[in-house]
Amino acid sequence: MEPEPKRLRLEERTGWFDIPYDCRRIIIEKMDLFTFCRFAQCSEKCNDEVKLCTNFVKSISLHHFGETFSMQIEIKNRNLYVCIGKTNYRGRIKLDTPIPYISFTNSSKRSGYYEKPDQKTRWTKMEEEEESVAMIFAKYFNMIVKNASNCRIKLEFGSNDFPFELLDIKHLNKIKSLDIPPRNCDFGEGFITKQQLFNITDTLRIPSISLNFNEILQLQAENVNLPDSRFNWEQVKDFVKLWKNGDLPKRMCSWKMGFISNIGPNEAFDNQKMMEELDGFDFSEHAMFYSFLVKTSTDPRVVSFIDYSYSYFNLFSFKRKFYFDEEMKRWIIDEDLC
Amino acid sequence: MTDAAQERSIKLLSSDNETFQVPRNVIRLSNTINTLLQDLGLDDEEDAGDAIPVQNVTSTILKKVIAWCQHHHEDPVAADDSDSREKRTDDISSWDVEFLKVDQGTLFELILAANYLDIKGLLDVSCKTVANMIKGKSPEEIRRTFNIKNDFTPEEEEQIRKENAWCED
Repeated sequence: MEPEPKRLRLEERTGWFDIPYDCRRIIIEKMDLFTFCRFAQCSEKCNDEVKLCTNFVKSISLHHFGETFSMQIEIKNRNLYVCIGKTNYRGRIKLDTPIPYISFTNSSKRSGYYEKPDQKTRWTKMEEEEESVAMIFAKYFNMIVKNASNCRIKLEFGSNDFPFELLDIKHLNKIKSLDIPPRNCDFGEGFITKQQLFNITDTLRIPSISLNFNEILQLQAENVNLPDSRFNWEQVKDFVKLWKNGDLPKRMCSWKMGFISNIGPNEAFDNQKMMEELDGFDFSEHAMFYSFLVKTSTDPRVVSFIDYSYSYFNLFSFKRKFYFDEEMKRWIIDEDLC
Repeated sequence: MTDAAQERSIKLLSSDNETFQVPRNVIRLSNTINTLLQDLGLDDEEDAGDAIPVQNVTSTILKKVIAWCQHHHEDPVAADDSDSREKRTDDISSWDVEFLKVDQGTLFELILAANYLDIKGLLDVSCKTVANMIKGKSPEEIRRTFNIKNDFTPEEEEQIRKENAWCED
């Protein structure tokens, strides 16, 4: 006769918590994000386990694509993309690994599992909610950040309705660093103000802010009076003085390009006014500066101003050397001219 | 390890006192056994001596572990898992899929054995199989599958359901 079937004994004790913790952790790490989240809903113990055996949110990147916001959340070995806006998400991400994602538009919400580019995609329509896109975005951001620990957050923004005011700052206290590329920052109406930004970084006592942001702080220390909301002509002049004296790191040019391009987002870009304010600045000596601005700019208004400034100083011939590179999506200046 | 050592066999003793003769180059997939032989200076010995007790593994499971190692011992060494790599569970070979078509208890025993013997490939593929057993299931189905007691209060359950509503179909 066969000995007592071992299976019976195994089945008696089979259960998730019979598996040693290390094994459970490894199994959890193999799960995709959807499974991972479902599993976290099974019991309080599982939920704790999910949090304990991962660092949970590793990084959050907020991106702005035209009218589309996207939030990429990396949860250890997993990625989740949250995409809000009108643009078709699928065209944005070129990755060959399965990526769970959730996508919102103004009129509908969809979620699903992104299989592979140009292959089948499982869409699941969700009930439309009476919430603004910004509200939805902030809700999910807050939900995820609440559970984050030791997380790195990267922000890119440049549009009028980025919902910073809806973000729950109190949950950001576990974030280890905040990268804010100032190149695309616009501190105009509807945007996070510089004061808000300082408040966030000050509150969080972030040890490692992005280098560019440090440079902004450095400018402050140099008595460049940075305004709470938007830059004015005085700041433009201050910048030019610093730059002329060689006191401004070259990297700052890109930041300043940002504010030049974004001066008065709700008002006409007044080239003449700019030139009057900058009277005395020898543009001809500083072609490199403009070259740098143009090369880093994606905003035609910058080029417009530069064209104008060159024409103002009878350097109009430069104008024809600027061209908009469709592939690179930026304005280019002929390198030889500099 | 020399070629001669590769060709040798070693003996493994299961927890229920069954002895298995295993080619050295097959069991090399177990880091635990490798380390043990090296630490004891038996790696190049003609006769590794007594059977190595594998106390945490029964003969039934050890037999399966050895079978897995037999099939995979010539596989190229896998690159280290990087944290940045997306985890996948759909890349299990057909042989492994068939191999792991066992009852849940055996599967868990295999995971334990792979963990104890530090056989990364087997641990990886068996854990993926369990992850796939969970995939696509509702929380209630997962609980049933793995005997997990729901210890959320109704309020907590509602709260967590709301927070994770985005991943619901």
